Amino acid sequence: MNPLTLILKEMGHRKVNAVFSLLAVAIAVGGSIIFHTAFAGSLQRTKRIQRDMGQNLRIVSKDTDLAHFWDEGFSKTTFPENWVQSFTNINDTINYSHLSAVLKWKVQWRRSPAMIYGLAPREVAPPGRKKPIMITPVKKGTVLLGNALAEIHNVKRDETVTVEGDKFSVARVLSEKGSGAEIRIYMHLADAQSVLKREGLINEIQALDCYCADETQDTLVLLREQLAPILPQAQVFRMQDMAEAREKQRRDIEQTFSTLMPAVIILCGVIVGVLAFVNTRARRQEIGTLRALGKGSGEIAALFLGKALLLGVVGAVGGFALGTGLLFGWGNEVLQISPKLIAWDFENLKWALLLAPVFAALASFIPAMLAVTQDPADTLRHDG
Amino acid sequence: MIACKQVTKRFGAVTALAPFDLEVASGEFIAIKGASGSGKTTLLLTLGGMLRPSDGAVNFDGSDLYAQSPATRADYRATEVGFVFQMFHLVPYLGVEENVRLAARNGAMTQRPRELLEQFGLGHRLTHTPGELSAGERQRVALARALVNEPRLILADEPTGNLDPENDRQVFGHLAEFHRAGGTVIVVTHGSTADEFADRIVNLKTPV
Repeated sequence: MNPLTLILKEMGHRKVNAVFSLLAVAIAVGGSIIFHTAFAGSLQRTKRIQRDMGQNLRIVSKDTDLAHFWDEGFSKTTFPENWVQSFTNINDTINYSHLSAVLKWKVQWRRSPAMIYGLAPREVAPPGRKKPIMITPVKKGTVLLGNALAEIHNVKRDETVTVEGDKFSVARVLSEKGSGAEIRIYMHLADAQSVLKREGLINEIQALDCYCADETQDTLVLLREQLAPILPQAQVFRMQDMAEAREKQRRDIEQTFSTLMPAVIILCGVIVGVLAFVNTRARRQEIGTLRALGKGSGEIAALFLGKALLLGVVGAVGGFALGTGLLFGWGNEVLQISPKLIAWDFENLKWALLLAPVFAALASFIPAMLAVTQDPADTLRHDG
Repeated sequence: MIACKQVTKRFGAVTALAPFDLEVASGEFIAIKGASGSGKTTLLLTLGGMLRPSDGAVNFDGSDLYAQSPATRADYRATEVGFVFQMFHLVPYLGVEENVRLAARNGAMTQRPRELLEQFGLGHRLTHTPGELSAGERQRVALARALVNEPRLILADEPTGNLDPENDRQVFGHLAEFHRAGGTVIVVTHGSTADEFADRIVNLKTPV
């Protein structure tokens, strides 16, 4: 008799065991899909939050007066704007990304201290680090005003203001930041160079350090080692508190998901294994009978492992539908996953169909071997 | 055809079968009798190649059964032997015909399961599951299953232990029919019906 027919009939006979086994596989698959998507969503949200915190690396000239730099918030030593392009001509992968050229200078504006903050309109990405732009570009001829500065001088959006003799339209008044940004006048880098009479020059390159997965590595030491051959005339500082908070957050998320997901899978594997064991125990006499009928170990193993494989295939499809369906229903509301990340991703189904049968077969392996090695005489001898 | 010499079976410190000799010629009908615990079932399973004796040897057609590989012994059970058990041991989720077909060597092709079942008066029960049959009907299905591969030897363990007198006679009638056709029967039994059909009655002594 066809083993598949036997397997299907047995599952139909022991429905509760089959249904719970199927549920366990489906939960493992569905749970994996949910965790995988939730992890992607969580990482995306974390990255956004961290991106909004801004760049955490400051590259300045080696000749910078550091006491002045930390006191006033800018370096009086300028360097050519094209230094930033040095990061594009490298072969090694480095931990710098989102590099942007900045010229900032403290000035008196309407008798208030203010910081002109010239931003290059484009970021520079080292090879392999091309990412969505982090900075908010400022159009030429316009400025973005810090909230405190706008409040003090009662300046509104779309008004025209004069900065160092040139006229600019106020594109936006920034929301209250509670930082040095309160007194900044953001403008296009070219405009800043023009009003400060420092054409082609900048005094800072801002960047973001890429997340370094190796916890034992001192990121700042690594960054300095990487910078030396690229820009020997420059030095780098890292906003340690911000960077460490960022790293910690990323590690926490990774750790949470890398612990939870295997835990769910292992738990489901144990359930499948226990159910397979219960099934083997319930079928002891049947195994004995099959042996008495001359069925070999291979045929007995095929019945049990075949059942596991079938459970895996059906569970994969069910789990894919369950996981994706739950994501569609509650992924955004409960897990705050971006709707863009929720889809019928058939790549997930492909992996589920590949892995779930292996998972079910592994979980059922010991019970299947118990069935194969079970002494048939033991059950038949105690007959009646 | 089949012989055992000084076959003994021990389970730990317990002796289930005391040293026992038996020689059965092809076409014989042997009834084995003995008190409970005398090792009747153990002997039958040993003769069926399912329980390796602790001592002694079982020879089938001159070759030592337990000197052969498990696969060869499985093949022996599939082709040469038909088992009938007291508790029938039908697969509960298969229909009557499927249960018999399960044992058939070329199960999908042969008409023999159906012919046997019709011969045993079960033609109207082909799709019924064992749970839907009477005890007598179940044992007849088990008999059909044992006979489906036209074995040379039937090993029956208390085949009528759970049956009423009418079914008891009916089952022994089928075994006798197989015997008349040249088959060899070794039946373990408590009852007296076998005395009527058996060529020889062998008594097993309870191990001390």
